[in-house]
Amino acid sequence: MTTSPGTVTTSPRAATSRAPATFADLPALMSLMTGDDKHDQAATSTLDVLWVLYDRVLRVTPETAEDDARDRFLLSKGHGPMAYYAVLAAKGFVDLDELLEFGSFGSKLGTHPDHMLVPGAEISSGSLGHGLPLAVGVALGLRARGLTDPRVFVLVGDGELDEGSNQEAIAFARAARLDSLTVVVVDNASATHGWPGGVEARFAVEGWSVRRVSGRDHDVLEAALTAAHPGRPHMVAAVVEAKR
Amino acid sequence: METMRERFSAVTAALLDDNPRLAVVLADISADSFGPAQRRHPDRVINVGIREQLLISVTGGLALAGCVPSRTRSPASWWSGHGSRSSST
Repeated sequence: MTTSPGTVTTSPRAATSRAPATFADLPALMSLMTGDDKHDQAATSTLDVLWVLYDRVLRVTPETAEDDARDRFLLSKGHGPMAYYAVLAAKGFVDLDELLEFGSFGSKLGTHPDHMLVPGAEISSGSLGHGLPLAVGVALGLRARGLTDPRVFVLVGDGELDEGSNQEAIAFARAARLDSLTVVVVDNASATHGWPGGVEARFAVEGWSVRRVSGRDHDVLEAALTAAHPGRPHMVAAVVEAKR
Repeated sequence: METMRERFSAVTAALLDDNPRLAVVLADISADSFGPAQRRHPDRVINVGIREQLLISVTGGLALAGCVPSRTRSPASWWSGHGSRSSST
């Protein structure tokens, strides 16, 4: 099934009163956030992936957000976090009223997420190139503590992979056999010099398990994000419309 | 005379035995001296190879996962920033 954030007929205010929220509510929730530094394209590129993760894949809720056994999700592509905040609000991590304060002085919801302020945010991000190497450390830390159930997911952009820090992480994660780690690359063709053979080729050459799927098809995304990958880390290229 | 490197390795290895949350991240430097400790604690002595950007981020990730990370760093940063008093943070 292909789904997309379609037009909703309810007003943004009406959306805040409905529960539980669905994917169709997200555009209305996003429209509550205003300002001149929203990075709209970055926000909308991640919307479907974020929803599928929180609605179908991640084993974490507001009640278990501090539990050792929770799955970890790290948003590396932290600029344009409206979709992230909308999904966190839809799932009860963030108060809906807080969306109205997005980007304003004193708000918890800045234009880059702050994990000391945003409930459910595992890391602060927006400065690119840090999420994947941090996720490698989280996966190593969980292993070191004997916590074998939690999985670690990190969302990066294809352009962000230009940051050299990612290359060190990609190479080492396979060597360390980090099979608790899944990287989802939202590919909107924004890497300035491109990725010959597709962005997944960079991971495949290091021995990762890789998939390339539509970043708008929820069923296909769920299948790719939950595919078995014993003994090695997993990468999903979620392809969306090219950045204009 | 015991060198700084030997002292760091011995003390850190003992701390690894005592504290199950302690993890050490190496970027090849001093990796040989941590051999016995790595065999005792293979998941808590982590050599990422010569990847010093990753070394820093991995320590951050370890802390997020509830570990207490320690790391070695290059002689250049020892000497330029911290003299010979400390070999880890």
